Amino acid sequence: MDLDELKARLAAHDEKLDRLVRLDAARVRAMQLDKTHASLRWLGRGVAFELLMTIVAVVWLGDFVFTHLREPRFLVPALLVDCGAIAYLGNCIRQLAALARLDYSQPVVTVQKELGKLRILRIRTTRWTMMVSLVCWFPVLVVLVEGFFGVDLWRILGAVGAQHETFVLWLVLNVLFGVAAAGVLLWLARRYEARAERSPRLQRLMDEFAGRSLTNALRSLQAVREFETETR
Amino acid sequence: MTDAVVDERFVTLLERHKRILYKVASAYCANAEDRRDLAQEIVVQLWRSFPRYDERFKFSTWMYRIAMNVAISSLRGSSRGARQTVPLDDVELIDFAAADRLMGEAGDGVRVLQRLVAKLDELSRALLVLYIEGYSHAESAEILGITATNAATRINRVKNKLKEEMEGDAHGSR
Repeated sequence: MDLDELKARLAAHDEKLDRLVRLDAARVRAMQLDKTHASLRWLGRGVAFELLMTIVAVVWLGDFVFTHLREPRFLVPALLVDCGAIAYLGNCIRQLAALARLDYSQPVVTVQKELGKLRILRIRTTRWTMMVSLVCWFPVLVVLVEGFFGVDLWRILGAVGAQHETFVLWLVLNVLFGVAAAGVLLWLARRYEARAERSPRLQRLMDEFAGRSLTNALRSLQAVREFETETR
Repeated sequence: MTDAVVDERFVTLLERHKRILYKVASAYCANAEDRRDLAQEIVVQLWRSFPRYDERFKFSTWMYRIAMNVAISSLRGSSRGARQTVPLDDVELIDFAAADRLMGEAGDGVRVLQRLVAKLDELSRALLVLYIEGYSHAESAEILGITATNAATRINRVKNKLKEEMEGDAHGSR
């Protein structure tokens, strides 16, 4: 039997299928009132929340920069963190714009390419945020401690005065520690891959650290492109 | 048109094309729970997109595009996170069990076809579903966003694979 014979046989069943299969119209009507569980809407809400939080951070950092204009030890880390926050803000806007542009009634290949690009953007954003946080946590801490508690961390840690050299060494060691921590997390992600499967969130975090999410997303996008172009 | 009229129109059209829900959900999900969740996601997306539906075009074509986009996105993980955090109801939108029983009556060939479908990539699966549903290569190509030549080439490849599966099945049962 070939595909065309099967097609004919299944076509004969279509009428029965239409007659016998019951659609719960009341449930469909009820779902109209409860559209909120559409997956991408949740994704959009998540990104919108991130955007809102980042705007709050950028405004707060702007105020912090303004009040510490004559104090380079606070100004420089605040500007550094602010640059990161602004870049993140731009990224959120890009994601929201991509989500707003998505029209599921467009051809399948077009929508899948757009979704693939969005997925890659999100994965890259998460990875960069995690990596940068591990290496650059100190400027963030300096700004937060000064901004919220009025405590000068530089002074406490001996960055000013006689212990300056010890502090610089400590700072360099911290950066190295951050790089090492990223390496350890990467190793853990690969080592405990199986155990993480029980927790979807942990699995996703592990995948993103190990680079598997990105590899899979790139592979999916490549498959869509190949499907679109292959003719032989 | 008032909201109530639009809602009624949508439900009527969905009722008329409910088998698309069954076919797409069955092509992309093996287990019952996933099929039920996918059918619900498809309906939600259809409803959200319905205000943009242009009545000059066939509803079934529009529905296939949306259903396949939702199914493939779901399979590729674009919406996986949300499905895990927002549990969907246990209520079945369509009677999958009755449909399964009916498809079971279609014979051994259908079982081999289902096995083949599970082995295909997501886009080839879409193409196969459309072919079985009677869409021409040009129509399938339009739904998927590829060329008709591409669609024809891929369908031929699927036909060959099915032939191999059938032969394998015949050898296995001997």
